[in-house]
Amino acid sequence: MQKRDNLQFYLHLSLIIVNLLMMDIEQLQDILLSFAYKENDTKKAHEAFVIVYRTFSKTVFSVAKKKLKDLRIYDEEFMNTVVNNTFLKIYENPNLEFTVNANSSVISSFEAYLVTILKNEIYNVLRKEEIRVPLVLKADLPDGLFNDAQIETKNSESENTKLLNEVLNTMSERDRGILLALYNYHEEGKKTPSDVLDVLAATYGTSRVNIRKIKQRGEEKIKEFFSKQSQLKPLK
Amino acid sequence: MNPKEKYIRELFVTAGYVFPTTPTEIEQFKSSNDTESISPPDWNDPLKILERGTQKFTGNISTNITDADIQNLAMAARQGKSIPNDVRQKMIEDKKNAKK
Repeated sequence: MQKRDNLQFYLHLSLIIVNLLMMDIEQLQDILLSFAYKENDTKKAHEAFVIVYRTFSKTVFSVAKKKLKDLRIYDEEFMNTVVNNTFLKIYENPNLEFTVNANSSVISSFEAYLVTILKNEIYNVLRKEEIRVPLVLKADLPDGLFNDAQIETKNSESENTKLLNEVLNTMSERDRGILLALYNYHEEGKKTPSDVLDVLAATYGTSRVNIRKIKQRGEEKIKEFFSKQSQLKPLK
Repeated sequence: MNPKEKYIRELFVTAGYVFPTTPTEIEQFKSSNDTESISPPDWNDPLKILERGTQKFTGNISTNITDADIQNLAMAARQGKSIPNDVRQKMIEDKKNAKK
C-alpha cells in the first residue's frame, strides 16, 4: 500500500514538474513560501521540495561535478555533501525576496542562485580544511584523461580558452592563483570577503594592497594579449 | 563589474575556472555541458535530504593525484582502453590511504 502511495505521490509531482519547466515567478514564490511555512503544512512543503530538487538538481549537480573535477577534487562524498547542504539551505532558509534577473528565465535565475549557494558551501569547507587547491589548467592534463560519460562537453576547447590558457601560463602561480580566486569569490554588488583576502595574503606571502595590484596587472595582461590576437573570437 | 572585468569573467566561466553564477553563465554552461543525463544521488527520493539534515564532511579530501597516477591513467587511455570505474576508484583510494 505504501509503495503505491509513494508512486502516486511522485507521479502527481512529475506532472507538476513538467508544467514547472515553464515556471513563472509566482510559482517559485509559492514554493519558497511553503518552505517558510513548513511547520504549518509539512506535506505541502515536502511536495514543493521534491519539485525543486527534481527541477534544479541536475544543473546543480553538473556544476558541482565539473567544478570539483577542475579543482582536482575527486571525492564523491564531498560532492554529495555540498549538494545535499545546498538544497537543505533553501528549504530551511528560503529567500522570500528572490527576484528574477531582467531578461532571464525563472529557471536560470534560480539555478544561478543555487550555484552561488553551492559555491559558498564548497569554499567554506575548503577554507575550514585549510586546503589550498592547486589550480590545474586544462593544458596541463593529458587529453581524455578523465573521460566522464556523465559530463561531456559538447564543444571542444574553444579558441578563446586556448588563448586564455596561453596567457595564464605566462603568469606566476601566485598571480594566477590570486586572480582566479578573486574571480571565483566575486559576487555582484559585494566586496571580496576579508577572510578570503587574508587567506590569499597568507598563502602567497603578500599583502592585501599587493593583491589588488596583482589583479589589475593580470587583467591588463589578459586584455593586451587578447587584443593582439588577430583571430579574436568575440564572446556571445 | 566594469566591462573589462565582465569580459575576463566570461573567459573564465567558459574555460570552467569560475562557477557560473548568473543566469547567462548558467545558460552557457548548460549549452556546453550535458546536464540532462546526470543522475543526482537523491533523485528517486529527495525527501531523504530532509531526513538526513545538514551533512558535515568528515573525510580527507583527495585534492591531487601524483605524477605516477597520471602516467598510469594516461598510459591506459593511450592504449585506447577506458578506465573501469572500480580501477579508477581504487587508484584514488590508494592515494588517499597512502596519505594516512
